[in-house]
Formats: sequence, C-alpha cells, structure tokens
Amino acid sequence: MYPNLQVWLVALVGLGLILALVVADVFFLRTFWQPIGRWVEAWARRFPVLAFLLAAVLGLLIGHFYWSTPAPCPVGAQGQVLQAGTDRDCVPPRATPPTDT
Amino acid sequence: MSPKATAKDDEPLPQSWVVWALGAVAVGFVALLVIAGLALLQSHHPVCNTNFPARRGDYPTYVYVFAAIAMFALGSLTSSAGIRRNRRSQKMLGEGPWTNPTAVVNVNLAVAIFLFLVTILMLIEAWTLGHGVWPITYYVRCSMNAGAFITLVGVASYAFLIGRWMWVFKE
Repeated sequence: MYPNLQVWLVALVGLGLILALVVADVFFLRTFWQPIGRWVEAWARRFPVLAFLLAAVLGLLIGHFYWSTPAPCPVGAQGQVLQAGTDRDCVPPRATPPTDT
Repeated sequence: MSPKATAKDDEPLPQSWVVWALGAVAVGFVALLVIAGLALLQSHHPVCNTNFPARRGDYPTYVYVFAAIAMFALGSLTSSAGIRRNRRSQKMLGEGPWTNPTAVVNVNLAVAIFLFLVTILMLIEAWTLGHGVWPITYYVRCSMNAGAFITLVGVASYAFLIGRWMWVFKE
C-alpha cells in the first residue's frame, strides 16, 4: 500500500496549521488592530508556565520525530549484516571479542 | 476610548513590508503544498520504504535538531529586539492594550483548540502503536525521506514561531 496519501496529509496538517495562523493573523489585524502573534505574546506573559509547557511539548515532538539515534543493523541467518533497504543510518553490530582459548 | 483604539495607539503596527513579506511566505507555503500534493498523489511508487521508513532522510538528524534550536533562539531574539526598538508594551493578556474581551476569548480559544488537536494526534499515535498500524511518526519520517528540504523548512518555521511567541519576558 502506498503511504503517499498519508504523507500528504502530514504535510497538509503541518503546513496547513501555519496557513491557518496567517488567516488568523489577518482576522486579528482587521478586528483587533494587532497581529495574533502579539496577542499570543501577551497570553504567554499571562500564563508563563503554560507557555513553557507548550513550548516543551512542541520541542519534545520535534525531537521525537526528527532525532533518532541509529539502530543496530539486522543480522541475517548466516551472520551477514542486512544494512540495505531498511535503516539508512543503522550501525553494524559490534563483533564479539574472541574468547580466550 | 474604545479597546480597539487603545490597542492601536499603544502598540505600533508592523511595518507594511513585514505584512507583505509574511504574505509572500504564505503564498510560498501554498505553492509548497500544491507541489508536494501533485508529486505525491501522481507518483506511481511509494515515497519511502513501506516496511519501515528510514530514520533519516537526505540530511542527518542533527541538522533538524540544531536548526530548530537555532530558529527558536532567533525567534526570541527578533521578538525582544522588536519590543525594545519600538518600545512596545509588555503587559499581560487582560492588561493595558490587551483587554478587548472578544480578543481575549479568541486567543484562549485558539490555544485550547491547538492543545485539543495535539491531544487527538497523540491519542491516534498511542492507538496505532497498540494495534500494529503505522503510527504518525512513521508517516512523518516518510515525509522526511520524501522531501527533506520542505520538512526542514516546516520544522524551522514552527521553532521560530514558538521562540518568538512563547519565549517572552514580563516588564
């Protein structure tokens, strides 16, 4: 199944939220004489802890989505490292040290 | 004096070139959405591995993280510089020029809607993880593989807005 439609939905939500902010900006400028950003700044000064939490949640989401430590590459039945096709940034598993004989 | 007039008198409006620049950015985002939609929906191939999307796209993951941190700081710097240069009011919501009750309700409503949306998305993420379906994270990684630059622009834009709006100080 192609994930292309869902990927476009992700782009639609991600960029659409910013576009919604642009529309809200126009509305606030025409109705309340100031852009929405200055009203949100005033909100953040009124509720600094909530603003901190909101920024922290969004930072966590960015870290969750985009900051991944490389996983170990899968190993085949004959012990070969299966790097291609799955994780482009996987690291080969460490070779076990030889046992003392 | 009406609340509108108070807000207008105390707070200088953004310069016209700023408004035009933001309008151009909005048009750019619409163009990006249309281009991405056409490319994705007309493609006859999946844009990423359908078994497990790669954890990184064309750029290393630290590029996104450091770009987000840098834009967060830049957003706060531009905001505080604008406040100092224009000697703008730093009063809280409900004080000074920020007393229009309809606007206060609208701002609180917008924040509540945003938090509700984030909660819904997290519930969907939790449900999909528990039912063996691709979570939203995989689709985000897939979009990162499909369009690394567009994703970077989106991440940087959000980080800039958060820094500009949320990293503020009282007078």
